[in-house]
Amino acid sequence: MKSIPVTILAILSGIVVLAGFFFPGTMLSVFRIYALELAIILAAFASLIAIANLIIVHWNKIFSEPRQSFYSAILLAGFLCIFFAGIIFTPANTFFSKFSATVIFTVESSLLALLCLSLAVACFKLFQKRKSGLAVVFGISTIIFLLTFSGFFSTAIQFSWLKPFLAIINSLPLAGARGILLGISIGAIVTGLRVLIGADRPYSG
Amino acid sequence: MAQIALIVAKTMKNMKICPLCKKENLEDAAICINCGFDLNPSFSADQPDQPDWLESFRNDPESNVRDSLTSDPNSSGLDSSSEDSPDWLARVRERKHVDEEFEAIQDNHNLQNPVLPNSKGTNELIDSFRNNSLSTSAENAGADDLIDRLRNAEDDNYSSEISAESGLSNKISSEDAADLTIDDDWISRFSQIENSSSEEPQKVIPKNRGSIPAWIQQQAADRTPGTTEDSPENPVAEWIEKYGTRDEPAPESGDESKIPDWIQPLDDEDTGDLENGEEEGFPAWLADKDSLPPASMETGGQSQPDWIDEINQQTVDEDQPAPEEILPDWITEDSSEDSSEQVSTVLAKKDIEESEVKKTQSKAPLKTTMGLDENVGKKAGKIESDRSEGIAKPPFQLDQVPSWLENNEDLINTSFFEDKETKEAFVPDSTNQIEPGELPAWLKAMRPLEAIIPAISRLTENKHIERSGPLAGLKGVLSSQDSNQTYSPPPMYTSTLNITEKEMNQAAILDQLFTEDVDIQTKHNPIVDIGAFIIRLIIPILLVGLLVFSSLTQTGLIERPILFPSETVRFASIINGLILNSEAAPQILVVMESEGASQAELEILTRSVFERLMLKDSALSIISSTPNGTLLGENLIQTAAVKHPGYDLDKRVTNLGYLPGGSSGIQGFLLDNSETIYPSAIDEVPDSFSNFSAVLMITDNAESAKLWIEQITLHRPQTVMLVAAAAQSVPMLMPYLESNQIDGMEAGLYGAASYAQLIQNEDSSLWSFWNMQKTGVSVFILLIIAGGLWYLAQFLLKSKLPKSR
Amino acid sequence: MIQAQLIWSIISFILTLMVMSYFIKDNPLFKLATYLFVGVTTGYIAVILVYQVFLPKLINPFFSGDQQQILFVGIAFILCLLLLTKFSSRFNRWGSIPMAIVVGVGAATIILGSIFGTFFPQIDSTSDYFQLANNNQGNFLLGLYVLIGSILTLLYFQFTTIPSIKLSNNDSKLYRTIRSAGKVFIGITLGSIFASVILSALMALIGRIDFLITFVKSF
Repeated sequence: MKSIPVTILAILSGIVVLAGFFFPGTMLSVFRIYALELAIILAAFASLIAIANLIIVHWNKIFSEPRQSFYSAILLAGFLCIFFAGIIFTPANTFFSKFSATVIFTVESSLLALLCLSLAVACFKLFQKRKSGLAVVFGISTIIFLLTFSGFFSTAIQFSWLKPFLAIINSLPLAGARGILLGISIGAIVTGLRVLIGADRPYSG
Repeated sequence: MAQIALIVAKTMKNMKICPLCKKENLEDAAICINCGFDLNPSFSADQPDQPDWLESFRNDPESNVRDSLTSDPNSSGLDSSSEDSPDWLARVRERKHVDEEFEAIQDNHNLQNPVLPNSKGTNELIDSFRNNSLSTSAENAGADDLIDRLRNAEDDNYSSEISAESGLSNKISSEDAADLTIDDDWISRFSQIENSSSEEPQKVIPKNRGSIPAWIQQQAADRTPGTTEDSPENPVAEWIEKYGTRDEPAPESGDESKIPDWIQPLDDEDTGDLENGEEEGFPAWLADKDSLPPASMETGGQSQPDWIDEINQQTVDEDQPAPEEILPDWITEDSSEDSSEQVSTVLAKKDIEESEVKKTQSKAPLKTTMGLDENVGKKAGKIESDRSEGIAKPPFQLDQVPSWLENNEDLINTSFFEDKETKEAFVPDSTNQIEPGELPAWLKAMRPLEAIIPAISRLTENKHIERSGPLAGLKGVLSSQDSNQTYSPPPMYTSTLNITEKEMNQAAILDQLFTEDVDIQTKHNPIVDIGAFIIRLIIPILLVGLLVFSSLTQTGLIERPILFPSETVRFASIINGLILNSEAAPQILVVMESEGASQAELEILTRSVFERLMLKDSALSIISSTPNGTLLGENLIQTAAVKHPGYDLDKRVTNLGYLPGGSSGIQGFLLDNSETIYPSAIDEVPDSFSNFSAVLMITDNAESAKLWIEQITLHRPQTVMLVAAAAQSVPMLMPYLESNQIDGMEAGLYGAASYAQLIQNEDSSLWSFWNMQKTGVSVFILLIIAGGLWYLAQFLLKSKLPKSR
Repeated sequence: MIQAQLIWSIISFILTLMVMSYFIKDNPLFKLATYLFVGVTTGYIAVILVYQVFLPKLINPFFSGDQQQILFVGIAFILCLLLLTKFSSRFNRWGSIPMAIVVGVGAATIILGSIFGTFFPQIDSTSDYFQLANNNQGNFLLGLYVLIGSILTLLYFQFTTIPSIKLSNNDSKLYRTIRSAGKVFIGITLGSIFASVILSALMALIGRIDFLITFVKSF
């Protein structure tokens, strides 16, 4: 019962956006822009709260968990270093941007590279647990698209039939991908409608 | 010890003791601080009828206490005359008389009323008195004081049964005891008296009967024992006989364990005194008391219970030590453990009865018998409690009310516990020779009804009051105690499950599943670990080694792509159109949808594109719905600008910033992008989204790219949409490419190589990557095939082995 | 400048090795690198939020003099304060108000985007294969394949049943056959996605190896 006004607020804000789209040039479209702007600001502030919460958790960890305190201290050191550098010198500062880019992109790229090694092992074990027809289709598909996406056959111009064959092969995942996209869209529509009719209230948690 | 007792008594002088919860209260307290009991019950209706003596008694309790303590200096003197006999001695004699009177009444009653199964809960009342030996003994002592006053001042409205042989008058009638409970000031005085008297026994000098006041002697002369039916004290006799005819004593809580600590030493001391007294021989007065056979015993001994007969027999032979075989087992066992047994079994038995009688007199358990009676009485209570152990009784019952209280019509009509047996026990027996007497009005008014009837219990919902421990005095704090009292064994349930066969099968399948999992973990874990570790070590080393080898052994011969993806061709043609066909520099919105993990791939993808755009001095505006996107976009552009030093990054590149809110942020930006303009480069940014020549989306995340594509399709369907996508997002972007929502796409390294081939761009790093990628893909394909064959062989071997076996 | 570049390269080199050391075993170096990464990322995001969202959208409008802007920003400010109540267990229900706005607006935009950005365009694109006006008769088979594949894939992901409708055995077999056919399309698509992920990861590994080799070569 307590969340009824909040639910009404959620429904109203959704309806304003929808109405602004269907009735352009009216006051509803103006309200729609304001609602969107408000949502952007609030989402950003929510992100900031999430960051603050993360920092508080690690700050508490330093004092509560001695084993994890070193890593939490490293995390806090990195955060404070970047945060104060950015706040004081603005994001245009070279140190800020370089240090951020170096750490973030290096670690992210390295993690993805690490994933590559894990995927190599996974490819070897592809048929260890799964021996069904789907696994066979999956394995064959993987091999074929590794070849096509990497341009393995693009250098073999001597085979005239290769071009239409590659075109057909490239179209094969289209059916499944379209089905998946349609499914995702239907799911998103249903979920959105449930929120707009008040059946789902993820905001009242 | 006496000094301590005196200090305690003085301390207690100014205290009121609640008759309900037995807790001390301030003298001027109107209600008990613990249980809320009205310590000053008002009987305004009958107040004017109170006699003067009572009025004066209530008005000056302190002086009475002082009188009892100090006004009689001869009471402690060894040579005190009989006229100056102390109160305690007078009381002892009175007790003896009461004892004899009780036996007479009991005998008489037993003749008429054989044993009645009554008195359920009687012992609770006794327990309540025993639990507070201080107050009860104090009341008893105070009763002596009252007697003195009565002797001096009062008329003959009431009198007690007096035994002619004893010559002692029992002034402590039940009415008096009831009176004592009403006046709270008495209690404080009693405590003093009790403590002062507790140290008296050693100094006791037997007094002769000449000390009996004349008015008592007169009363004694008027009456003969055994004629209790004619006595005006019938109510007293009735309730006494009721308790006397109890055939099954209820458990009593007045054992030693519940006696306050401060009393315990006194009791022990008293016991010691008693022992000394026995060794030296009983005082004459005590022997005299014991040697007096009650007249009623002779008349009424035929119909009484066996145990009373035994007691009576013991009483007859009181001068000789009682053989244990005469006594019931429950008495001998207990008394054998008691030090007071050394005194006299007869005395003990008499005191057992006496203590019962006195306790049922509601306020006078005769502590003034210098601990002897008290101690023995406690033992008696213990004996009784041993006999009837396990019988749970409610704290208050109507049958605890003495018959003189029973006269109240309201009380009779009130059924609190609906105990028919109890009620029947209180029904006046028409055949009873002892007729109930009429109480005087003033006595009716003084009856401590509130202390007896469970009115408070009704108000407080029968909550238990803690008597000891840190919660002492608090009411209803241990709720479990109530449930304990009303405990019933838990219901019995069958331990067998009623399940269907189908459910049984399903449970078996589930159990089998878990068992298999456990087996895999326990039996094959070590083998799997070693094998997995080898595989995990060898395969990556093989892959990395081959890639490093491919990188280090670069040859000039690189097979470049000849067949180009159609989307890449479209992508290249649109870029060319933007550069070549427009007179002004194209304004490109660069949407960065990547966190940076695919930085290397995206760098290869976009380098040629940015270089191409920089040729025309295009204005690039970077925006992202991921926080790291703009940073990555700036890095990519800066990397591409290395080859174009003339391109002014500060002027031509604008960071529009991060768009929070996902699809909401994107839609807000598409509707009005002026809000998200980064202030430092505002002049380089178009006024609205529609002014951008094209949108170049650089992404490795299909989900983020999908949001942009959806919103752009929704709001700006005419926008030229170019995508430079990392390979991992390509499959999910292909449908949008097919639906022409994406105009051109450069997908993966193959797309980058194709674009580089299309625009004839020479990028050494691109071809180096191209070569390494081919090596890597070959390794992956080989791994998949090798793994498939390996496990296929294992599968075949496993399937063949059982057949061969 | 070169020295600065060198410093960043050294940091990048060390971090790469620290992360790649996980390849042998989980170790403190890997943990240190990841914790530093999280700290730096959150710090960067916080700065970006402050400079690119709050200052231009929430603070600067207060000094713009535009009453309408001030009113709007004031409301936004109050709602942001309400979001802070999420920290409190006692008042956190007040934080549901701004969250309701975010969710409501997000739901509406997702509905619009899904319907008009994906659902209709994809159906329209599938129907294009069957339009006689177009000169793509050759793609008719491809259109049929895409149509059947899309339907079967959708049916494969149909995990819910309607309680009031009880399928007969024949229907169940048909349904099972359809789902089995859908598996083929799903398998193909997932295989292509797996291959593309491998390619991206391989590119990242190649990029790291290339960086390490280049860095070592530079000495």
